[in-house]
Amino acid sequence: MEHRDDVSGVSALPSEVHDVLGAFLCCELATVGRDGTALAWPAVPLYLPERGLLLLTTTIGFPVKARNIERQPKVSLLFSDATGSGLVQPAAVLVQGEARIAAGVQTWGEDLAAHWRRVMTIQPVSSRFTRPAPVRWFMDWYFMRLVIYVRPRRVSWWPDRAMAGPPRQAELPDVG
Amino acid sequence: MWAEVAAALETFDDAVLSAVGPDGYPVSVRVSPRLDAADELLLLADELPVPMATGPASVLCHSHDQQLWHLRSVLIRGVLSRDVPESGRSWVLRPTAVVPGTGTAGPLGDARTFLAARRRAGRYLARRGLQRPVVPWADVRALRRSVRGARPADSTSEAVRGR
Repeated sequence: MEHRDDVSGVSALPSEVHDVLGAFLCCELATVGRDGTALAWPAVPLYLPERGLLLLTTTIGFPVKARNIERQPKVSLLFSDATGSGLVQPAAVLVQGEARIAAGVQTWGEDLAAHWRRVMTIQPVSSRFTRPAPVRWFMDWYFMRLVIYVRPRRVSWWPDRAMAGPPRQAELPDVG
Repeated sequence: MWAEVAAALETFDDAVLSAVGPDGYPVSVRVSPRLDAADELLLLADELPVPMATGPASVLCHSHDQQLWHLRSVLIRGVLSRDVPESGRSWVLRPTAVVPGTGTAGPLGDARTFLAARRRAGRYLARRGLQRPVVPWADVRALRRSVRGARPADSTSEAVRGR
């Protein structure tokens, strides 16, 4: 588990940014592929401001983004779809930072359980993947996860979400 | 391939353009692509709000409902370039491949996606000499029972809830 005394500068970010990072159901996680293409796919983020981190996971059934991170740890997370967040006219937020993949394929653990708690709460229909027994057998790969920690280095945000002009921006200290 | 691009884009209002920025970090922004069928280009924007390098890039279209279901996604890979601004086209993407995600290839397509993922997971483990791990279903079920009826805000970290 990531140690907890490693507080970065995220606490200095404005509340409109914290609100988005904590409430959005999904973000667009971009990694850099082998050929240099930035590839984004939707991902469920869990914001851990007390540790200065964002936690994401991916199944080993879709390991490409993890392989990309192993080769190039620089990633970005765009929070631009507010559907289901409960926020009214939230900002759009772009987080750029370094990603680290925890060792091993995980099926349980404190952080992974926190991720599943988030998923089960915001996506109730995901219970279809856990019953009945034949579905559990067929879908077990979905629960074999690689846990990804992202430490933000730069946070950009557009208060009106229009992304028409340059964003407000905060550089975060390198405390890693 | 252009027909696939056009079909993918016509069902989404906007999309996420991703490219590499000047310092090597990926950058993503929302854009509203328009189709230039004659030149088979996606017209992205006159100006981008953050610096992006020309070259390989991608456009992701995705959507979900209020409960993160009815997921749909498709990724279009291509080459990002800055067209002549006076042409009115400015930033454009020339598509090179369409990568289906979920929900855009029909139920059969999703089933194929899941089956392929199951096989990939097996290969992932085999290449590393790992036994297939056992999922602790009792813990998963207990967690699911504990979150039944919870609000989304209840599943954020304590620090988020305390703000």
